[in-house]
Amino acid sequence: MIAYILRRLGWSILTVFGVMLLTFILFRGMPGDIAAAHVGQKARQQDRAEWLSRHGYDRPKLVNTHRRLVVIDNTEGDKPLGADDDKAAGSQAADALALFGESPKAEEGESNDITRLLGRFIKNLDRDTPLSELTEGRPMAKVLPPPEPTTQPTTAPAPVNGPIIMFSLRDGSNLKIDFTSLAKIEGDKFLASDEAACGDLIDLINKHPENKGRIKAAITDWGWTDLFDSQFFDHMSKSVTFNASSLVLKKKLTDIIAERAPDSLALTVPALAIGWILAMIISSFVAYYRGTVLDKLGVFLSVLGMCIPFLAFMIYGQWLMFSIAPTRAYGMAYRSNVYLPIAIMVIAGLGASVRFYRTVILDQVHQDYVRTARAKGASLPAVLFKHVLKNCMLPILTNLILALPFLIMGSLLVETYFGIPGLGDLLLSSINQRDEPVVNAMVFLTAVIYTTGVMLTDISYALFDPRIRLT
Amino acid sequence: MTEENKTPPPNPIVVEYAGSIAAKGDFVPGRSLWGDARRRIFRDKWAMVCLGIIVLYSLIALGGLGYEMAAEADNNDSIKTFEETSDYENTNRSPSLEAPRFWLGTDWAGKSVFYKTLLGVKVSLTVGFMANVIAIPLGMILGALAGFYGKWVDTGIVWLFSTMASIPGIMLLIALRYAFQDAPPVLGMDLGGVAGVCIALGVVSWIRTCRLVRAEVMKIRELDYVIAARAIGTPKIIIMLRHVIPNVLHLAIINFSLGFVWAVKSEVILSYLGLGVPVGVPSWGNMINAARTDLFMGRWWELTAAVSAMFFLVLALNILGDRLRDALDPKLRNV
Repeated sequence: MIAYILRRLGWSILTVFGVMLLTFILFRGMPGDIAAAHVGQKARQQDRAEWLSRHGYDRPKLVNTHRRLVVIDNTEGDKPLGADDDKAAGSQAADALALFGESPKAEEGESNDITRLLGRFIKNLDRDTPLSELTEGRPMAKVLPPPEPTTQPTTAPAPVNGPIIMFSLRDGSNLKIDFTSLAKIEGDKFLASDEAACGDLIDLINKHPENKGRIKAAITDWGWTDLFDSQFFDHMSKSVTFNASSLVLKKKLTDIIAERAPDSLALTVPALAIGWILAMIISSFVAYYRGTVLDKLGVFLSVLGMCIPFLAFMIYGQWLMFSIAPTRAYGMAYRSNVYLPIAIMVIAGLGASVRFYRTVILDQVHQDYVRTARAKGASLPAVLFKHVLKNCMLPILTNLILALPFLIMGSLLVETYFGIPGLGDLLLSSINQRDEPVVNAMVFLTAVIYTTGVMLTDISYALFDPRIRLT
Repeated sequence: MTEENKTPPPNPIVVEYAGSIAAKGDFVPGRSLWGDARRRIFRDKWAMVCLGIIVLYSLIALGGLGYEMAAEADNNDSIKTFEETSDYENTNRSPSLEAPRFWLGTDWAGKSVFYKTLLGVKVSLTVGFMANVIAIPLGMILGALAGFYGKWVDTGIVWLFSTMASIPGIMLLIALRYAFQDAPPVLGMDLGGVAGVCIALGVVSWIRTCRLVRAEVMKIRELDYVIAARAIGTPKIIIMLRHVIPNVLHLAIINFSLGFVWAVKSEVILSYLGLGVPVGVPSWGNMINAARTDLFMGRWWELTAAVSAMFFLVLALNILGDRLRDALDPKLRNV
């Protein structure tokens, strides 16, 4: 038995792992621009890159065998250039050239004031890596037309032509570095030249005469522990521990769930309990009068109930409530507002469950053991409650377990429609706002609850039902 | 039958039995499962009524498809597409018998609710059909492979479907649609549109078919005729194609009708949540979504049209599905 339980436990862990794999493929693996949804569709490439970096979305997908070019600001301790202390999450290394073409000021050619630089993960980066791999073929700057000759002597400095970055350092000083020696002109753009390698760039920065040790460019070290600094492992650890924050609400997931769960539970626990009891009573009743008009009417009504869309129950129900008591039809201003959603959930679910339980009960009523029990003189209630109910318990229990995830999730539709701020409502608004950690946590939470429930039923079957073979 | 009675019977009981059948006059030669099922279905009045309703819906869907193709192919704008039929002089009209387009009233933009409902049939049937075209073969093939080959193939496939089944259906659908939101087109299909809805529904609903087929194949694998085939050296793949698959095909039909109902219902819910077919495509879910506050203003027609159109389709499919199951799978037959 212990071997069986352990095997079952192992299988559940495998399943949960599968769920994490699936959510990873869906939420991280599918192409899509999550940064655009959060910083705006028209945001600069630089801002998107910054957002991705801050939330760890720029990391390699599966395993991290990548290195980065960082520019360290030595003026106030060894900090990566542009790192904000309050935004310590994510990577703040610098990969200057990858961003050359994206800085709007670089386009204008005035000065390339890059206050915030971000490192990009590049596979097998070393000093011999061609510079064009860092810039990804993007232009470093625009070639400006020669200034028009003016008669008036101008006091404004002549515009600088060429890929020049002005590093704004922590202590307030600036450092201007001209990268023209690493560039070639193609059309009206400066591109990385073919001979230039990453090492040349590092030397140019470190050995610049005005630098004097203020900033230092380097390639990051790579150790075995860095292997796990990837999106996949991040996703796994955040899924299991729920140790992540919402991208929109900026609150911890555990806090959000704790805050929202009571409203969901206030809705679903009574709905499930009342629905189950009602379904059991009606289905026993219908099964008892099997073959009569009552039975046929019951089955007919439950089929009708199954066919009316759930949305119709909600919309007409709310309208009915609105015409009786307008304040009770929406929101959670009064605690008693949950009665209507509960009633709707119970009624909408009744059809399917009555039909299911009726089949289950009738399946048992015609077994030989019932006839034997009746023949030896056992009374009808004794047979029904002692023998039949016991044997019906297995499918009924399974059916209840299937409803378990919704206990936590609440009914998605009902919560959004009736303005109940539960977890289902949270899930839907998170989807519209692209709040990936919240969506992931909700999916994962339901999957874990469901898997655990199924495992516990399986084990309890094995414990209590001698007919189940342990294989 | 007269000849049987003339010869003196060696065993009176057998003859009496044979005679009683013959006397009743419904002795028929043995029928195949499919022949038996066909006979049962065609004798069943309710099943025929439901089949009629479904055929009617299919014709409406084909009509809608024809109209949309004609409107698209037509260059001189003599046939308007449905989006172009806005009529701001007749917005929110209640139903009247003046013209066919006012039969079920008009919506906020003056579009005919009646025509919208009819065009919605096309979306619902497309989604229901395509989702099952994806789900049923997937479930059949994976289920048969798992059940027949066993060992690690079985373990792998069971792991796959128990993983997917452990995420509740609606959540998995939402997750898929979330992932599809701005995915680039695959094979020329826009994953954010109707094709994406079909794929998401198909990917979610193969699990039930797979489970049933796997269990059935595991039973069939141990039957005498399969063991006999194996004993004379028939290759495994031939056994599967010739002896195993034909015996689980009825599950495909049963699951098709059940899956159809589920897909139609889910499409409406997804569209209502804004994750289904794109806004502007005339579908029942979009109609319900657009009309959710209409009741408070006394405009009941758009909502009621969509809900009742869906109700009759789902009812017909449900009853037909039940009857098909009873006819095709005697073991599952209701008490």
